Amino acid sequence: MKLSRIWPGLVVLALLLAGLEAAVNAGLIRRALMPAPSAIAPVLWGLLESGEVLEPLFATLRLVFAGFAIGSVLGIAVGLAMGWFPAAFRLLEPLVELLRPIPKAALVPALMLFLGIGETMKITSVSLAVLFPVLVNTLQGVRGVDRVMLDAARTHGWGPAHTLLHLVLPAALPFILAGMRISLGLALVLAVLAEMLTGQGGLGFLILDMQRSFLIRQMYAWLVILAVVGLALNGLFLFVERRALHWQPALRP
Amino acid sequence: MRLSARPSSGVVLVACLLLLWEVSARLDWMHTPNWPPLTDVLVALAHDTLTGELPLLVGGTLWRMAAGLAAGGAAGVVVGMLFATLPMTARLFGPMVELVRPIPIPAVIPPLVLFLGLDNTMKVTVVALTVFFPVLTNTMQGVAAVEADTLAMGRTFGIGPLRRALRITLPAVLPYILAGFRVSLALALVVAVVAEMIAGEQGIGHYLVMMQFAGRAPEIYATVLVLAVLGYGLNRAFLVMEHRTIHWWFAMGRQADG
Amino acid sequence: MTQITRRAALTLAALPLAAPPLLGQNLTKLRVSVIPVLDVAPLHAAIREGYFAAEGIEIDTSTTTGGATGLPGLIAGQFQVTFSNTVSILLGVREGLDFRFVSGASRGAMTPPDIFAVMAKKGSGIRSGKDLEGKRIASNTRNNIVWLRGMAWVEKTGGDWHRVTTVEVPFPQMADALAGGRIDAAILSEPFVAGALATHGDTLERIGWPISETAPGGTNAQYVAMKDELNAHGEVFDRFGRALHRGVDWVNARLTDPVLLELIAGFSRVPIERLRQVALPAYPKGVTPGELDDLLVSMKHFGMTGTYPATSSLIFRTAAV
Repeated sequence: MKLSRIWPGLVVLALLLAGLEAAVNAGLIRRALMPAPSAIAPVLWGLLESGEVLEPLFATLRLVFAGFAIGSVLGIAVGLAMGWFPAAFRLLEPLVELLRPIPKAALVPALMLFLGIGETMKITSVSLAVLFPVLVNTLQGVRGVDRVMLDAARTHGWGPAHTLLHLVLPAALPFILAGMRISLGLALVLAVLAEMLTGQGGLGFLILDMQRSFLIRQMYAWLVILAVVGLALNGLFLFVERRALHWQPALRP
Repeated sequence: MRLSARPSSGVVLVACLLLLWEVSARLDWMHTPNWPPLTDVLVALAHDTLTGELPLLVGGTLWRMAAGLAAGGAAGVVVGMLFATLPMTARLFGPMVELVRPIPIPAVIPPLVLFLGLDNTMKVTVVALTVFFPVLTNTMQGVAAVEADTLAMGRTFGIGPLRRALRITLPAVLPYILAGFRVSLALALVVAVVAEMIAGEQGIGHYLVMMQFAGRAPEIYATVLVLAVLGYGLNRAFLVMEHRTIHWWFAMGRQADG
Repeated sequence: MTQITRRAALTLAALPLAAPPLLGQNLTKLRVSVIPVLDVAPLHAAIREGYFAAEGIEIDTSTTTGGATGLPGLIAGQFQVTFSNTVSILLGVREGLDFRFVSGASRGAMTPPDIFAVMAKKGSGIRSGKDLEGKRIASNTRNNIVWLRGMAWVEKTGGDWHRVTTVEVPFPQMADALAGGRIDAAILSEPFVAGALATHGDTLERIGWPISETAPGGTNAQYVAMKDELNAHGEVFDRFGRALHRGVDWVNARLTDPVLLELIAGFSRVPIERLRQVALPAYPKGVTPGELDDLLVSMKHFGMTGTYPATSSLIFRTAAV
């Protein structure tokens, strides 16, 4: 069923690869810059089979997940506080507005100055990229909670903490998850970038390093691996989101 | 307009943090030359702005960003319209798009450099790629949303498919397309800077790395300030433009609310 | 005073040379990719002193910060000449890219101080490659001249390079990483050696000289162009070579003169007080097959195996001096 819908696309992909192979073999594309797919495949297989892939792969994934977790938790916490307590909003809003528009990629060299080039600095840059979209979405979610339901909660004698946890948080969840989904892509972007700029381990560094050493087949092989990581992360999040929001409609009156 | 006598707690907090920055650096609490006082940063910023170096670099970066936005956005709209109106094209080329989309954009810079070198062509292409995907997705969603009612009308009046796409679908989808652009805007700036950082030779991103290699901390923080202002300004400017372009959409929204 | 007169004399001497091309034809534009390091001082000197203009050439320099970053721009035809380290150039040649040497740029010194230094923490007990076995040494990247010379030093001082872990750390971060104990040693190049001593002089020290201890006067970096371009416009590159080599003479005549440091501070943005402490490279005009062959032996020994063309075939006539 699903296969019948995507096979035309797969055929196009196969044709494209075959065309590339033919073009390289006919000398239309410089082999030193774009090796034939059949020359990249064995290199890719070698990386997978020898287990060489594991260390850089885990380095990048660790960075993405650690940064994503820290950034999300902070973003949700601060977003909830700012949405729920007017005093917190007044205190933090100017700071958030000041920091939010900074392109986080530009912070990497500044962070390198005083955090060095270790994991701390890389995780910090990824968390910062994740923090703001999650924060802003959480804030929107909290603000959007139905007034009627809040009044109902109060008349039922729910305390503020109880209301926050059992009414506001679930109601804001779709917004929070949407923010997290945007951030997951950003987390991978920042992780790859931080690796490229700090020049240490990880998939991002390897792709750049292989290019600069003119190990072009290796560069494409690592790029394929990174693309698969991106695809898998996105798929994983869609799956989690569907699960998490599964019960959502039931909550509505 | 009434000027508030007492600044809000938030403004006080920001002021305190900036003061803390200045004091901690002046007294060298961090024991490092990499933590310059805010005033040194501002002096560096003023110096390189007045010599004309920074304005020129920023102009170049913005130009490349704008070119990439235009190229990638146009491609996104065209492909999105095609995919949405001719489902066969989506089935043929959709999987390819879905395979390229999840690659984190800095990673495509090394292979692109091999083919396009280090100049504008490469940097504009990277920005265009960044913008292409959000605009494509939003265009398709927009077409799907307006399809039913708007298109049926066009069909009953016997308008041809091309004119229908240009005259009816495109204006109706415009708010979605602009939303896609707004999402891409911040990313486009980031990516333009990143491409300059990795490939060098031009723009504010290269300046940043140059200063890192020259060991000039104040200039590094000055660059971050410049980029923050740019990011903020671009977002504001785009919101204003969006409001102007699709004022009728907001007008309709307001009616629906009332 | 003598300085000014000398420069005036040089400018005057340049005039008759400048006249014919300036009158006869428009300036030929050449884009040159450089890294803002000590090695490219002659190029900037030749630009500033008008040697290129005298040959009817206008130079547009384009800066990158990575040692091999400029080479793809050369392949794409965006630059006519690129400055790069010899190892990166030869790795491209191995993959079938037609880089040709048009001029030498820098070589290591015969005796210390070198443009590269191995540094370690004072009191760490690390004095040699032998001491580094099982430990971590930082290089800005693998597969370039810095790493190769560093590994040669490890081997020369009794260490097994297979048992020393290379960690990639960008030059600006090396001193901090070393002082912070994240790495046990680092291979730095100037001006970062001087920078490290200026900011961390109380904790860090130089323990080795990777060029003069392993290959005194060994090759470091060159200017390259594409073979097709050289075949088509060889005459333009002759003029480029002449002007650049007058820049080399200018620099070599001022190795201890503050004007050289002012020139370097101008294009690299490195603060001049830091430059006063740097060790300068030797500035050669040419490239010899011998120095390239020596380097290839070392490259193959340290894992960069493969088939390379005869090195004499890679040297354009402007570099055969």
